[in-house]
Amino acid sequence: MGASGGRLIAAWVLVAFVIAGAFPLVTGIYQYLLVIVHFSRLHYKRCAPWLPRTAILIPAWNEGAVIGTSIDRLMRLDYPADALRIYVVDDASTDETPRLVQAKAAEYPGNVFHLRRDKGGEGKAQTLNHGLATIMSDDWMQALLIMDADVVYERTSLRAMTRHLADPAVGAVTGYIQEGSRPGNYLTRFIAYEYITAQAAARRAQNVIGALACLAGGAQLHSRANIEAIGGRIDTGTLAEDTVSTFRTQLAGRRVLFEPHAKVWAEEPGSISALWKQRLRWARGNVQVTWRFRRVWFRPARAHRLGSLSFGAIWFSVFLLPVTLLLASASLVALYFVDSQLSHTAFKSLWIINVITYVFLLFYTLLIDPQSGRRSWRQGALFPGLVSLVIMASVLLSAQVNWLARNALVWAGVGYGHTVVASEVLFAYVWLAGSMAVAYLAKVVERDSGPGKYLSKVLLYLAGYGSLLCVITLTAYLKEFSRAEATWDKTMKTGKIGVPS
Amino acid sequence: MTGDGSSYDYAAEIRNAIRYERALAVKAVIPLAMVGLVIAVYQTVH
Repeated sequence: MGASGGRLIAAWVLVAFVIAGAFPLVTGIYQYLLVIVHFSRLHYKRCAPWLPRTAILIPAWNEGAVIGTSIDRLMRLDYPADALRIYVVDDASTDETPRLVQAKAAEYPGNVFHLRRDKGGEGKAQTLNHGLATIMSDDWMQALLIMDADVVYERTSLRAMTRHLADPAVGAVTGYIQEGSRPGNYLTRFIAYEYITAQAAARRAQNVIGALACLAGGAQLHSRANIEAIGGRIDTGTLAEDTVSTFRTQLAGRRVLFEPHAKVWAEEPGSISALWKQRLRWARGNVQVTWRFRRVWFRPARAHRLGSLSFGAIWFSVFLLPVTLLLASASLVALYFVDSQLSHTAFKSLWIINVITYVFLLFYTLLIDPQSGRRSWRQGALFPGLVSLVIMASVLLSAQVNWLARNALVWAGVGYGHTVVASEVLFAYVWLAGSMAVAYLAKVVERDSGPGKYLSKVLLYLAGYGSLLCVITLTAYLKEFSRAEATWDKTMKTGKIGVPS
Repeated sequence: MTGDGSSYDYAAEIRNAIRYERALAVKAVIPLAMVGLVIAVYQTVH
């Protein structure tokens, strides 16, 4: 084979890497197409108006700002009071949590219980197991709801979940977590939009596939039989105890369902640094889960659908997103020096798929949950970042955008020579990876006030919220690879949820 | 309620949930039409 043959092979290998960058986009569209047929796979025929005796398990560490209100709201649920018990596991809190919970236990005798751990900070799973030991010690509990101290259930949400447990084939049910901070800020509105895509849409798609990736940590309802089947305790070996429970339930042959009409509101981080801490924990947990269940992926089984091609594609499209972006970016740059015309075609193809995905997902997302959509549509439109939107526009309307860019540069006195054009092209090629660096910079410069507060916001709008999530996942890979210490950094909550009571 | 179940119209809740899910399927026409529009624009200008 001659030098030109080798060059040709190298060029097409690079094209393949660029096209691989479209894999997350295509699976994104696939998931949204599954949402369309969700109505045909509903579980309601096997449901019944069942209101089992439900133990609500709340891990709490320094939740003084929210715990009292949370208990009051739970006691106002549309659910028989004599079928509800609330167990607050106080993880050695140093604030007023113990006093508040004890006061609520006195106010609601027989409904609210205060369980105290003298040694805290070991993690959520250990805290949950402390409560589970008490709950499982008698046979009162028929269903177990694990939730966070700050989340707020709409009044009908619990019974919307329990109706599925009337079917013994169902082991667990999760609700629809929505961002509820009020008044909130730009970041919580990004999260609000993200939750429509990652929960309302993605989990509907997973209902259709028949395999759920994760029971939301703040809204997971298990049948007693399921808790017993997974060993009567929560796994403590990873940072993603909720995902492990979800997988173990399905591997044991029980279904896990998402109930989109069980609405649960949560206060999410209002700063990039707090979001980083929370999501790094989640992402590291996902790395651990991916490795731990390595024998499950792409191995179809009769008992569950976790090994299906569809589910594996969805899981890995998210898990490998930073890798596919870096690979596509690096390949485009390399291809530019091998065959610039081919690099242009590959780039254009990738970004056309990007435009189609963006338009389809944006409009459908806003229709899936108009309530959250009304609040977060600006952040939804800017989700990929301003720079990516300009690149999309330049691909869609290349002649018009090039004319604008040329005139703007000439007007600015820069000119529009070969060097400028080449720099522009290479910038666009590098941006898939570069946006992650800019998102990281947004975290680095963030301050509570002053220029850092505004600069981080500007950088995040330029890079896109998705790029921030990607760089967090990338950091999680590195932390896990280097076996960095995994600490349980709890997200502090302030009780700023403003939703229907 | 809490307790007696008097305000619990189970059948109505299920009906509403099914109606919402069916409506979602119909609403997909809008984003699909937007994609069609984008493709039409692309073909027109290229």
